[in-house]
Parts: sequence; C-alpha cells; structure tokens
Amino acid sequence: MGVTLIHTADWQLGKQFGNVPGDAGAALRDQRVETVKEIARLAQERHADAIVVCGDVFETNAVADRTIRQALNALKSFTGDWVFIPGNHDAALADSVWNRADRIDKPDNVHFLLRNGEPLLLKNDTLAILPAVLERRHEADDLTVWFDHAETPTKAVRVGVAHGSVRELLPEASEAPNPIAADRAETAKLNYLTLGDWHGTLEINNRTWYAGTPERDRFKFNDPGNVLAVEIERPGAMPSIKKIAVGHYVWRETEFNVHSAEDIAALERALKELYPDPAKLLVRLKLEGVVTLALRGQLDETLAAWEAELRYLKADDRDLIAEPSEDDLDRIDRGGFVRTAVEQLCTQAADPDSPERAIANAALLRLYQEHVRMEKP
Amino acid sequence: MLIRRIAVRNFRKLLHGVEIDGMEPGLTVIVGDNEEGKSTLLKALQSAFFDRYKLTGDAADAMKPFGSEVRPEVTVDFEVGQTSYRLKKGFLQSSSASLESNGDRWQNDSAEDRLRDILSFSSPGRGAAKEEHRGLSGLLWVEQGKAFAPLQLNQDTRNALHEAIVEEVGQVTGGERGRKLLAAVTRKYDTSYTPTGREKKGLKDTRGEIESLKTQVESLESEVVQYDSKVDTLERLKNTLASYESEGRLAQAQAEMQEAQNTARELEAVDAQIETAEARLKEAKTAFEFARAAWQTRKDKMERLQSVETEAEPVTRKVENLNEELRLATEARDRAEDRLRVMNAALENAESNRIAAERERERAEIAVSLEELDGRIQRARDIQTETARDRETAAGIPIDKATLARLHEKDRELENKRAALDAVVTTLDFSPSGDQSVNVDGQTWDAGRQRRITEKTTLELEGFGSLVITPGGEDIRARRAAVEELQSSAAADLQRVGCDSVEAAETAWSEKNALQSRIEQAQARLDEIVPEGLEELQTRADDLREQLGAVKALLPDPASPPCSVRKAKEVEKATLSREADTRAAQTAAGEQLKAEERDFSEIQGRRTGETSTLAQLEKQIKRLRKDLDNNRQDKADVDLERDVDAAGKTYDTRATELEKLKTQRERMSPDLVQAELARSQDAYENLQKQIAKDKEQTDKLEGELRGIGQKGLGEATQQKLGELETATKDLARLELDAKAWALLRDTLQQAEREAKEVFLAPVTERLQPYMNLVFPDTKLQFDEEGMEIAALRRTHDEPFASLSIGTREQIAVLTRLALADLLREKGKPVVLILDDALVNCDDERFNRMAIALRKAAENVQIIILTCHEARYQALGVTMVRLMDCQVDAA
Repeated sequence: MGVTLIHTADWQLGKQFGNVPGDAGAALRDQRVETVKEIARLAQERHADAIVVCGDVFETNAVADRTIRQALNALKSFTGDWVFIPGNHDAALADSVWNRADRIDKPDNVHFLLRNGEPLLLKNDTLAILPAVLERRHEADDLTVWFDHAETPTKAVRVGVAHGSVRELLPEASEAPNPIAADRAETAKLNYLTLGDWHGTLEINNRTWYAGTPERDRFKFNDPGNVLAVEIERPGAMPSIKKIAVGHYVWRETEFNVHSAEDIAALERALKELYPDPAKLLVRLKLEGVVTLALRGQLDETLAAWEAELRYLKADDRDLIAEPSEDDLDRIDRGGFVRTAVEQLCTQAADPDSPERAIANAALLRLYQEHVRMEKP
Repeated sequence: MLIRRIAVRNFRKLLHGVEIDGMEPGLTVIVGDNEEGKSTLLKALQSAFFDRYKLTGDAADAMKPFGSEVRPEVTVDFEVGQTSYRLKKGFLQSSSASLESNGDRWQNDSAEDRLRDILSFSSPGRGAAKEEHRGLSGLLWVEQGKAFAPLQLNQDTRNALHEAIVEEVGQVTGGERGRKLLAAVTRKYDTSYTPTGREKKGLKDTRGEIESLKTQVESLESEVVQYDSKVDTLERLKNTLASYESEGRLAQAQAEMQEAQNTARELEAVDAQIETAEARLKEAKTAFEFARAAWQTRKDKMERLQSVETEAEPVTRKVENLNEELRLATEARDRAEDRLRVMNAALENAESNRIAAERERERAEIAVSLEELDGRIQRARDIQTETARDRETAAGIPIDKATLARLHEKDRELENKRAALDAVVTTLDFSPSGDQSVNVDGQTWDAGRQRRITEKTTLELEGFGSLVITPGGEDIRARRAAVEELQSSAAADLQRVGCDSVEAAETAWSEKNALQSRIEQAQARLDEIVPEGLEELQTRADDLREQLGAVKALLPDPASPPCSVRKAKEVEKATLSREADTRAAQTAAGEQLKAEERDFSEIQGRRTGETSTLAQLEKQIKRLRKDLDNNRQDKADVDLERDVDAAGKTYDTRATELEKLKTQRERMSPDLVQAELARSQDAYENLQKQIAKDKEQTDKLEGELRGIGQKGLGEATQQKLGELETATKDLARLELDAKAWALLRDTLQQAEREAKEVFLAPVTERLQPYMNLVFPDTKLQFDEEGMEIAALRRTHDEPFASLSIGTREQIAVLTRLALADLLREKGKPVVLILDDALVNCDDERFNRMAIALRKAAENVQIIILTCHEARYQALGVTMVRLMDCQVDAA
C-alpha cells in the first residue's frame, strides 16, 4: 500500500505583472489560480493521497483577502490532503497570510504547517510529513536539521517539506539564505524531500527535487510550468518521480537579426514556429541589425500585427539601427529643402557621439513614414 | 518686348479712334484727363492680347461704346526679341483676330494660339480674360487703383519666375510636396507642443501620471514598511510574552516579593518589642528620677537649715556693735547744733551793718549826680533865653536876600535911565550982565546956578520977555517918565522894607545875618550841653530826686547829715569785710552739724537693716526646722536613700534589655529589608502591568494587521510599480516621439528658411538697388511660396498689409521693376504698364520713384498712363497727350 503525492511549490498567487500592461497582465494574474485548479483536478484524477506545496504559495504576506479566498476556492476539487508550508515570500511571521487564511473558513483537508519539530501524520499514520517552517523570511540556519532526529511511526513513509536553497547545487543561490543540506534525505532517512524556492523543476538527487513553479512568471528559462507526481511504495523505498506539465502560458525569449525584407519574412516564420497557439504565447524579441527606412516601416507593420496576435510581445529594438538608404532619401525628396533636412538628420543619426542620435533616427523614420503616407492615394 | 503702336476704335469710352504710334524703348508717359479714356486704353490692350475675339456676353458688350452698336477694334504693333508683330482684334459683330509677322499671318483661333505661344499665358476658356489668364501682364500691367494690392501672381507668372530663378540658382525649394510634408510634420509637432513650445496634454498627463504613481508607490511602500514593522513588533511581543511563561519570570518575581514580605514582618515584630522595652525603660527612668528627687529634696532642706543658722550668727554680733556707735553719734550731733545757733546771730548783725553803709553810700552818689544835672539844665535854659531874644530881633528886620537883590537891580537900572535922560537934558547957565532976573514958573532962577531943563520950560527973562525951551523934543519926556516910574517903584520897595535907601537896606541885611549866625552858634552849644534833650534831662533829674528821697527814708536816721561819697564807700567796705568773716564761720558750723547728722543717720540705718535681717533669719530657721521635722516623721532619711538605690538598679536592667533588642534589629538591616520589599513589589507589579500591556498591544497589533492585510498591500504595490514602469516607458516613448517630431520640424523649417533665402536671392539682388533708392536701409521679405511681399524690414518686420497705402504702392511698383528686370534677363517678354500707380506719393518720394523708373526703363519698356501731367514732367521724358492722338471714328 504505497503513497502517491503531488509535489508543487512557488505558486506566487497575487503576483501582479504590473509591467505587462492591459489585459495580458490581468490574464497572467488570473491564470495562476486557474493553474492551481488544474493541479487539484490532476491530483484528483491520479487519486493522489496528498498535494504538498513547498512555500511561496502567495507572492507576499500582504495579499488581499480576496486572493486568499480565491486560493482556498481553487483547492476544492481535490479531496485528499493539502499540505502547505510557508516560504520566504509568505513566511510564518507573527502575522501572516496563514493566520489570515486560518480565520477564513479553511477546509479540514487543508493543513498549514507552521511549527518546526512537529511531524504531520496522514493516511492512518502511514505518511509522516516533516516540515521545515520559515518563521522569518531569511534563516541563516538549516531548518531541516531536526528531520534527522524526528521520530515517526515505523510504518510511515517519511517525507520532508522545505523551502530554501541547496547551496552547493544552486550556483546562483550560493549566498542565498534559508540553506538546506543536499544530503538531508539521506541523513534524515527520508523517502523523499520536497523542495520549493527554485522556479524551475530540478532534481538535486534521487530523493530530493525542486518542483518549480507550475505557472511560469518570467522569460528566464529554467524549466518551469510542472508539478511532480511522486509515488513511494513503502518506508525506505526509492520514490518514483514523474514530471507533469501544467503551465498554461508559454514564455519565449528570442533574438533576431534583421537586414532585409527576407529577414522580416524569416522573423514571421520563426514567430509562427514558437508555439502553435499565439494566445498562450508571451514573447520577448530582441532585434538587431541595420535596416533601411523602408524596411523599418515594414518591420513595424509586421510587429504591430504580431502584437495583436500574441498574448504579449515585447520588442527591444534598441540595437536595431534604421539607416536610410539612398533610395529612401530619394523617395522622400531628391532636392529642395526637405532633402537638405534629411541629410542633416542622417548626419546626426550616423554620429555615435551625438546625443540626438536616437532622436534623429526617430525623426528620419517619421519623415519617411509621413512621406509614404502622403504618397498613398 | 516692345509695344510700338496702339490703335483703338469704338472701344468703350474711346468712341473716336485713338492711335499712339512711334513708341520707343524706355519710358513713355501717356497723359489724359479723367474720363478721357487712358484706363480704357489699358483695357483695350488687355482685351487685344488676352480676351478671345469670340468673346460674347456682358464682358463683350462692355467693350461697346455706350449706346452704340459699332464693332470695337484694337490693333497693336509690338516686337518680341527681334521679331515684329501686328495684332488686330475686332469683337462682337464680325469678330476676328489676326497676327502678322514677317509676311506670316495667323487668323482667328490660330492667331490667338500663336499669341499664347509667344507670350505664355493661359486661355481663359469661356468668358473674359482675368488676371490669371494674362500671363506676365497680370503682374506687370497695373490697373488704376490696384497698385497698393498684393502682387497675386498668376500661375503662368509664377512658373515664369520659378523658371527664371531656377535657371539662376537651381532647384532649392521643396516645392509643393516639401510644403505639404512640412505642414504634416508641423501638425504632428502640434499634437505634442503648444505654439510656444510647451508640452501638451499627452506628455503632461503622462508625467503627471508618473508623479502620481510615484506618490502612490511611495505611500504603499511606506505602508508595507509599516506593516512589516508592525509584524516585527508583534513577533517581538509574542516572543516576550512567551518568555514570561517559559522563563517563569512572573512566578519568580512573586516568590521574591513574598520572601521580602516575610522578612519585613519579622522586622516589624522586633520593632514592636523594642517599642515595649522602650516604654518600660522610660517608666523605670521616671521612677528612678522620682526617688532621686525625693532624697535630694530632703538633703536640700537639711543643708538649707544649716546654712541659715550659720548666716544668723554674725548678724547678732553686728547689731550689738551698732547700738553703741549710735549713742556716740547722738552726742556729737547735739554739740554741733549749739555752735551753729551762735554763728547765725553774729551773721545777722553783720548783715544789718553792711546794708546801712550801702544806703549811705547810695544817698551820697545820687546827690552828686543830681547836682551835676541841675547845673546843665540851668546853662541850657540861659542859652535858650538869649536865642529867643535874637530871633525876635532878626524877625524885626523885614529885609530879605531877594528884596535886596531887586533893590540893587532897580538902582542900577535907575542909574542907566538917568544917564539916558541926562543925555538929552539941556543945561542952562545964566550970567546976567545986570540985575535982571530970570523967572521960571514964577520963581526966580538964581544967577550963577546951572539949571537942567528937562521939560518945556518958559523962562521969563526980565527985560527981555519970555523964552520957551523945549529940551530934547518929545523923547525926553518918556525918558523922564521912565526914571520917575523906576524911582517910584524903588521908593515903594524901600518903604516896604523900612529903609530909606539902598545903603540902609544893605546895613539892615548885614545885621540880620549876624543875628542868624549867633542863633546857630547858641544852638550848637545847647546840643553840646544837653545832647539828650532838655526834657529828658529834666525827667532824669526828677527821677534821681525821687530815688534820693527813697534812700533817705531807709536810713536808720533819715535826718542825719549826708557824708561824702568817698567817706561812705570806706564805711561800706569795712562792713562788707566783717560780714564775710562772720558768714564763713557760720557756714563751717553748719557743715559740722550736717556731718554729725549724716553719721547718725548712717549708723541708725545700718542698725535698722541688721536688726531686720536678723529677725527674718530667725523666723526662717524656725520654719525650716518645723518643715524638716514634719517630713522626717513621714519618711526617715535612710528610707529615702534606700529607695534611690533600688530604682537605679531596675533602670539599668531594662536598658540592657532594650540594647539587646536594638542590636537584634540592626543585624536584620532594616533599610535593606524595606528596599527589597519595595523593589520586589514594584518588580512584580510592573511585570504584571507589562504583561497586560504587551497582551493589549498584541491584540491591538493583531487587529491592525488583520485590517492592513485585507487591503492587499503587496499586490497593490506590485501593481503600481508595474504601472509606473509602464508609464515611465510610455513617457520615454512619447518623449522620443515628441522630440523626434520637434527635431524634424525644426530641421525642416531651418532648411526651408535657408532654401528660401537662396531661392529669393535673384529677386532680392535686383530689388535692393531700387529699395536703396526709395527706402534706404530697408529690405523686403518675401513669402517664397506665392512670391508675395511679406514684410518690410526696417528696425523690425512690418507686415505688408500694415504699411501705409502709399508705401505699399511704391513697394509693389519697385518689386515689379525688379521682377521685370529678372524676367527680361531670362528672355521673357516684358512690358510694364502703370495706370496712375503712384498717386499716394509726396513730392520727394515721387522724385525718388521717378529715378527708379528711369533706371528700370533702361532695360524694360515702361508705359505710364496718368492724368497728372505736371507731376510726370519731372521724369524728363516725352509726354504723349491722348487728345493729340485722336483719329476719326469709323
């Protein structure tokens, strides 16, 4: 009679995406709750015994009550046990989101583990959950130490739950607080150690994993958007772990060089190939290259079209230089004062030392576009 | 182009024909009065060149002379380049057009087509030709009253000018597209900036939004910080509260307090014992002191009795001695009294003698003084008598000093008067030879006697008859009267003073003076004898006499004869001496008695004192002895002594007990006990309060945090930060956009300005010499697009429309001169016609314009139509009078 768990973490509910303007931001925000519902459904389907959520459930302790209620609502479709520990974002401070959630009508199958040193026994004492609880945002000491000496029933599968950094295995987090020993599963004789904090799914060792965030929240790529389905046959047994994608939105970061009309066509193809459903796709596009004013106009048109189609498109064109060609210039005017002005602007735009360079470039582009507009019947 | 000949027939006012022939290059002035048809001449030229010959309708009808149906005809001979042409047009009936040149001839439409080719103008299509259909003439042929208007170049002229300028400077302007582009850019610019270059709503709003978002973010972040800080505080409070429990701090404080209270109670018990012991000791002390006092009182009484007895013993002896002394003193006093009585009698006798002698001496002295006084009184009385006599005598002499002086005066005057009389008196001396006599006034004049005749006198000369003499005439009488009057006055005066002559008066005055002198001397003597006055002296004499009587009455023998003063003084001196001696003896006897009496009194006093003292002492001894006996009957001396000893021992015992208790108390350190009690109580209470306070604050904080937590500060902050980031990017984008449009607009405008300057250079170069002539130190600004005069730049730009009509007129003409120059140079057919274009000039300005016109006419044919013949004389060119050019009408 084994144990089936769903391991997840870092929901960051209440994250605002304020820098993603308009509906896209709101959609990203709302999707996080939807993804929690998806996890609940998934767990229910798989007849999981428990869902273990390893901290940073909320973006901050200061989220609105509405967010807490949305979260609790989202849990409903799973009837097994929900096990939560606080993370550094929602640490179990004197007053925290957990106190507040407790006051709201919390179902009995939802467990907030807020004290260290107290294992939670589930499933007729066959599953022992050992929590490492952050009572401060940042702890200098490893809170999982007590796991080593924790007494649990012999028939119980031992599962550790923690939020923090396995320093030696997360180079970026080598100086990070809330340290966790990489060999804790071994020293504490855990069947499995569930971890949160790292947003990508990551295996530390065969008994220790970061689940990562189930719904991606940034362009930086480190394999997020999953939960882990963990099956443990018996106490002491090696866990069987399966990564399941649950994320809704697809975040892509891409760079593209544009020099010609062919490049623009290639860019379009590349965007199409990124993901079949553009409504789920968020793209950060870094453009480089040198284009004529005519091409630049064409590129702007293309980008505007894609912006409408994608969930979100962020084009960084700081390194895309619009350089007017002789044709561009001739098209605006071959002579007269307009030509004189264009040549002056070109000089400014070509001078890397000119503080007006970007403005001159923009001015040229606008002149070109005005000219094109005037030529249209 | 050069117009050589104009012939007009049946055209409007020119019903009769007009033909102006032989016009030369340069300046031609055609003079005609008002209504004579000079403007019609210009109309006829315009119609000939530009109206279609087939023109119908009102415009064509207007060509007909009023009330006439004849055919208007115009013929013009002109040259373009080296080619001569003759243009003929007839309108309305049998309308036709023809153009001939060098044997070639074009008829009707083809004539007009040819003409358009030569002169480059547009066909008017239907209707009459307007300005825009007249090619260069639209600009260069100026109708009356239109010279001051803007140039309003028609398209053909504009093209020609453009061609001319481009030929000179090349294509520099942007043309129509450039202008449109600039206009579009300016519109874009205007969406971001106001005309004064300030940012408009979009940018401003975004900036405002950023500021607002920053404020909101700050506010939210500050709330978050507060929230965090409150959570921290709550954490600390909870930890503290937990520590009270876990460390058992409250229980410990309570235990400490109870222990301190027990110790304090023990101390209180010792304090109560001490209090009792102190009371008992005090009691013993009182008993001991009481016993001691009783014994002391007994001892005092015994001592007192013994002391009084000792004191009485010498007093008794002293009283006995004093009784003996007193007896001896009584005897001595009686002896002294006897002696004094004897001495008193002797002194009384001596005093009587001395008084008698004094009075005798007084009587003698008063008598001497009285005698002297009486003498002085008598002498004074004698002088007074004598003086009274002299006064009486002097009073009898009536003469006084003034009268005497007057007498002398009159005497002198009389003398003078007499001398004056004598000067006119006739003195007669008769010396008769016989005895004949001479009678005067019946009296005979003694012969030999000289006679003074002072008045009319009749002399009876015996034997002769009478002789009347009248001396001195009438004057003598007055003189004589004066003398007589004076004599009479002097005589009256003398009589009044009782003298018969002045001499006598003189003597009387001397006597009176001597008397007066004697009286004064007597008065002086009197003052000497009796300075105090006679009456005073008399009073004094009377007083002395009275004194004398009184003194005499006191004498032992008033009838005794008085003796001399010296004798009386000697007697008095002797009696005084005797009296003094007797008084000294009497005084000594008195002193002796007093001394004896004092001795007596003193001894008597002492004896009384000692006796009294002795009596008292004896009384006291009796009383003391009785009292002591009574006391001893109550309690014997031995018993009293024993009582003192017993009470002392009790006191010592109790004092020792108290000391022991106090030592015990000291060992307990009472100050420390109290301090510890206070401390432990305070500590316990404070801890209780602190716990209550912490709990209260915990509840409060939890309440607050619940409230704050609900607000979703974290989400709100993130949201606003995101919005701020977006708005900041928006602003950067908007700014870049706005700046780009601004840069574009500025660059375009600058380029356009520079292009215009270059473009207009061919015009301004030709115009400036004319301007220098008429408007020195000025420049014209052109609107390049329409080649329109924009402004006159003097000290600043003055828009063309704001200039005076005269100035506008002159500037417009000068500009036409320059444009005509330019066009002609570029081979365009140019003739300038001005129909009274300079009517708003003062003379000086006109003269300058005339120079300009002459200068221009060196290259271009200029035809001037005017009614101001005299004025245009100044141009110094041949004038053509319209009236001289009439030919018969058809």
